[in-house]
Amino acid sequence: MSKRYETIRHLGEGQFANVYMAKDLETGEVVAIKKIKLGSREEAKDGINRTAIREIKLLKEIHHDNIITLRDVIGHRTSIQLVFDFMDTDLEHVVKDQSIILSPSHIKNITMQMLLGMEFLHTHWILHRDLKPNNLLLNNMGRVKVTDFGLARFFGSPNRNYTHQVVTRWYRAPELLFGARSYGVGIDIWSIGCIIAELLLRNPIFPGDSDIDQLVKIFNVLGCPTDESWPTMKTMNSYVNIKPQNETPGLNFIFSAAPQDLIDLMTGMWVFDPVKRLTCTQSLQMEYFRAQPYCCLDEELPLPNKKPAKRTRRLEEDGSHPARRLIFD
Amino acid sequence: MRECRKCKSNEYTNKQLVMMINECGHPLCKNCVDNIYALNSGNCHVCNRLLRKNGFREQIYDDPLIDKETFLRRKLRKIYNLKQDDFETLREFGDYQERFETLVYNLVFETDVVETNAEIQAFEEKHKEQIDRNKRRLDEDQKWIEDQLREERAMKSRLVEHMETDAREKENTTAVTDTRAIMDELRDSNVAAEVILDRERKKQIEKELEEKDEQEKRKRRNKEMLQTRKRAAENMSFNTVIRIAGRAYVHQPLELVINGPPMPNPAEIESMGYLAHIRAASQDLIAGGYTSALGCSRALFEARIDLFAF
Repeated sequence: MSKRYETIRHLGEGQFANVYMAKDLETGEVVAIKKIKLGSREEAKDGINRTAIREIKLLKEIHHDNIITLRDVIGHRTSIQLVFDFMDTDLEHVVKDQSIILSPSHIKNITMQMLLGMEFLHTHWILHRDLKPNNLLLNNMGRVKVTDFGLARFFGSPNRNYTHQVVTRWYRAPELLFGARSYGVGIDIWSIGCIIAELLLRNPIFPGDSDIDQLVKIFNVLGCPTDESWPTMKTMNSYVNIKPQNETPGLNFIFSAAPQDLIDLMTGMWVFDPVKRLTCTQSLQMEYFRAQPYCCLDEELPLPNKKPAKRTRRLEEDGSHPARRLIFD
Repeated sequence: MRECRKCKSNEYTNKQLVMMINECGHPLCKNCVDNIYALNSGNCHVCNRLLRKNGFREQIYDDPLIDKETFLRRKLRKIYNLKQDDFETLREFGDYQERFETLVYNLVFETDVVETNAEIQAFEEKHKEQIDRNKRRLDEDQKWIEDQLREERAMKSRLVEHMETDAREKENTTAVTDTRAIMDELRDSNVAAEVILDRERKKQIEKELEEKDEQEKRKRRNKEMLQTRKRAAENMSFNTVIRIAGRAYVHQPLELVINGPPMPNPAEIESMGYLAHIRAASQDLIAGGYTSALGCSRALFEARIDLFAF
């Protein structure tokens, strides 16, 4: 580590990086340092990880209250360390902690912070492409920040093809599941809708275990898209026709405790045709944010009590490494 | 999506699809490789080059060209393994490396293959001794990488050790009263059974009381924490944007600082003929959420900012 920062402890290990909690000796603030892993010798030969490059490239340019701040980049020969604000927890822990009760005004606050951050990204032509509760951090001031820009990139260019293998499956929009090679802000909005649903249900709403199953799970809740609701869907690469189920329970039934304006917001975020889906700005202008109960103060947001259990590398049931599985699924 | 050109199976039809690639850079799925190269060698289905089965490796990158390049690079590095101290001047070393890049490029894009191969062979013969000697030597970078890897491993083992000692300590302190010890005592000692049981019960009650105390303390601490957080938030410097709590929120779209004339709004883009200058989006692009208005407004946006580098 560099002289300016003093490591306090190891926080966790991701696919590509180790994260440490450290103290900035110049300002006395606590920061998080992400040390990009070298991996095996084979990988190190082919140069540094591209997710790290993406992260640095984008975060250097953007500054917003609801987006993680990249304070510093330490390059030492080929090792790269990124210095971020220290955040206490993430929304995944909040959702999973059963002792926390999320009131409607808490949810409104989180939704709003999330949307403000994403609106800022989208107006700067950046797609995040990996929104999930895990990537929304929360600090002890109740500030929500979007993080993990390893998959983020610019969008809106007419001649570029984009891969559709982005976004964790449970939060993946139908156009990605149908193999769209070109997309816009709709894929992030879809994920935001799924995150709001998860805040309400405390469980993922579409936990598909394969791409097809994911579509089935979505259609079971929202019904099947029709030629009227999404006229262009059949032109997509891997469009598959899925037989419509006779009855869908309807969002009002699933979110029995949610107010109508919130249901309207989610319905807008889950419109099948990405051209007609809400944008961040439109979402923020919805009735939901103008109606009671008003959103709470940031610092009233609940935090998990327990220190999150030290996360060791999670192995899948068959003992394989999750990264490997992701690639060859 | 990955798809085998030979058997047309893809990620949807075959969940376990594994693409393999050989030196010529034409991918095949694992099943096809097993079938076609059952006799260990055969011709490539695209370029007809003679290939061996054991030359196939898993395709790592989406673009087969990159796989081909890394393969060739690795192969050539076995011959072109001279280190900086094999050259008299830095310039010569630089030239050597540049020549190496040229050769790789030639082989990857298959320009002047015959000449290139001849040059490689000539080089190999000329520097045979040096190459053999260098096989066992690591250069500075490799040494450094090994160092780092060793360090990373050491760090990991230290962490594991640390966690284990932590867990052990915890176990020792929270162990429940050992029932077996009590039973032994009841059997062996001459003291009346009631006295022993009384003593143990007392111990247990004390412990419970302690726990209760602890819990209350924790609650109080949490409450204090919430208050200090609130106070801190009021004094926070970056809290200039007061989030609109406790009243209806009316959102204003984000205003961007741009160095040009104002951006036309979506309606204007359509009505004022901007779209005539951009390729119309095809149906499958629209299906994914890309419209020509979107591409158009990004182009207009880019034209209005100078320093924001895309």
